[in-house]
Amino acid sequence: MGASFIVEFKKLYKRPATWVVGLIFLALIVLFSYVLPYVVISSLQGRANIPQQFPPNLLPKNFVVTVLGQFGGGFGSALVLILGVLSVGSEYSWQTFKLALTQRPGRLPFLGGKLLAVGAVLAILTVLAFAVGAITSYIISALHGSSSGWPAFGEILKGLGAAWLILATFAALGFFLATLFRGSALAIGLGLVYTLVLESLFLRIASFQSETVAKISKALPVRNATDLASHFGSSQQAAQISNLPAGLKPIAASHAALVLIAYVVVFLAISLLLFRWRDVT
Amino acid sequence: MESAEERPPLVETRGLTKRYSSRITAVDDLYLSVRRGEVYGFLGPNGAGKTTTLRMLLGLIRPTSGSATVMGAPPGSPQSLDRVGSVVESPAFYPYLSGRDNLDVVARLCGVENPKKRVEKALEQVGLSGRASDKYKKYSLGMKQRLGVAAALLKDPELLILDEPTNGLDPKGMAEMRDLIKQVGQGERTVLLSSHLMSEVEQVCSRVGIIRKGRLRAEGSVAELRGKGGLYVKAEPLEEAARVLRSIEGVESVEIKDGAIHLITNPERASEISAKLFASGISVSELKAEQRSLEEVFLELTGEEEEV
Repeated sequence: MGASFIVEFKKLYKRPATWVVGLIFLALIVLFSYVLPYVVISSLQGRANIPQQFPPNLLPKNFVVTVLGQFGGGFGSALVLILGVLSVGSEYSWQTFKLALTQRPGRLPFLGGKLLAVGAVLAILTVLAFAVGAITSYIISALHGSSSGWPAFGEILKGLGAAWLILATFAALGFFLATLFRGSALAIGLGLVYTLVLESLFLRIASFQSETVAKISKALPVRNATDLASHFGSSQQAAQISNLPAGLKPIAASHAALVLIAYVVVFLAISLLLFRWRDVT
Repeated sequence: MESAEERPPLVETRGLTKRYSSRITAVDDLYLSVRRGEVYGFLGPNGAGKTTTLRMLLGLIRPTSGSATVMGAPPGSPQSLDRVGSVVESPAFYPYLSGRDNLDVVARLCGVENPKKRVEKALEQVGLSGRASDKYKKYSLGMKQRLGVAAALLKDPELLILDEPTNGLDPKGMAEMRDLIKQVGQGERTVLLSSHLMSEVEQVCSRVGIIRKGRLRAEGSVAELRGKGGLYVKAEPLEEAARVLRSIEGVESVEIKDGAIHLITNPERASEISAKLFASGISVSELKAEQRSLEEVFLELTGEEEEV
């Protein structure tokens, strides 16, 4: 599996799509979490009916929750879903599985190496996202002359773990869909429709006091990802990140983490089984 | 020392079958054996089951029934793949990587020692050293095929499986690819080459198996499949000439057809036979060597309705 991991990591590192997805993710964090809110706040300053308090989300001490807000409910999940799809789906469209599988490693070690490499790229992306968030929040607070205190180190570590788990869940969903459909197009299409549209529609229905629908919604990946992210901030920030319809309460962090881990395990296990048993045509 | 015939075959299938549904049987009860050191041509029309067979031999497709051994091990097992290089259908590589990086990926996956050195050697072998840094997507079809062969050679394999390696190439590219196959097939290396091109198989292969509708219809050397040689004779008087020819020792059959005589004998006896006919007062207007082409044999075995 070691050789497969090195090869797969090299392939991801050299692939322009990886860089495009990663750089867009980082740029969107800077833009939507910091620059745009700061520009809006700056332009509203001095108006009589607008509160003059500097938004706490832009301060370095809150960068963990601010950055995490873009992972689950934001575009992070959609972007890494694309990355997960491409890591498998392109091999089908380029027919490169037949190249890899006629060498030595065997199917499961080969796919295992691929999974580890995607996991490593997600870890790097998570650290970079946190670093970009920290640096941007520091610059903005310096420009505004606000406090530049940092969150506790343990909080940052927990945040990194949660962020990686959220990304891993959606990358695993992409991996599973691409393996199921043996290609990228349908997997990306369906994955994005689910992540960006279907689940939020479902949550709107859940808000109509249906107990059954509300229970089901507690097992859904996007909701668990956003609720996990929301636990890193104050209740006000949590409400902003979760953006739950009225009547729904955030899921406990431990429950959300367990649900996401279960999704990763199930998606990857089914992908491995499908890949192990299907013919490569 | 054991001869190639006595040693166990490198590839052996026993009743190998791949059925996709009750209506579609791609490979049907196939018995095949490829001996060490030979260039074996796997000949068949499009859709005959050649690629499916090769994919089963590489472990990419599971057979519905029957069994196969490749290098004495089950197809697709590390023990088998360790010593087998292959290009199945069109070569497949990562378009955003250079030719060299693609080979590096393959070298690391197959765990060769000193991958960088092996990659450079393989590039040199197929004449791609000068374009090794270019992205694969910029390669011509001929270059892609050659990179495919280079990847197959990285392991220095004992068995090379090539599926229609000249497909889509222009005549120059086809000639270069044939030369390359002859070159890599020298010595102890065994080559299993699938093709639907008769000339290619005749030029390159030492033994041929002809497959149609998933079943092996014939197997043997090109000469064996083409059958015994003969002579075509136009002479007057025809009946008298046939009588004289039947009396000559070593002439196996004499047949009068379309105003000429077709006889089965060694074509090198043409001058001797001409002299005997002349001595019997028979005037010979035409005498030439005659042998069925591999194409005729192929059409006979696979049916003329098949697309060739």
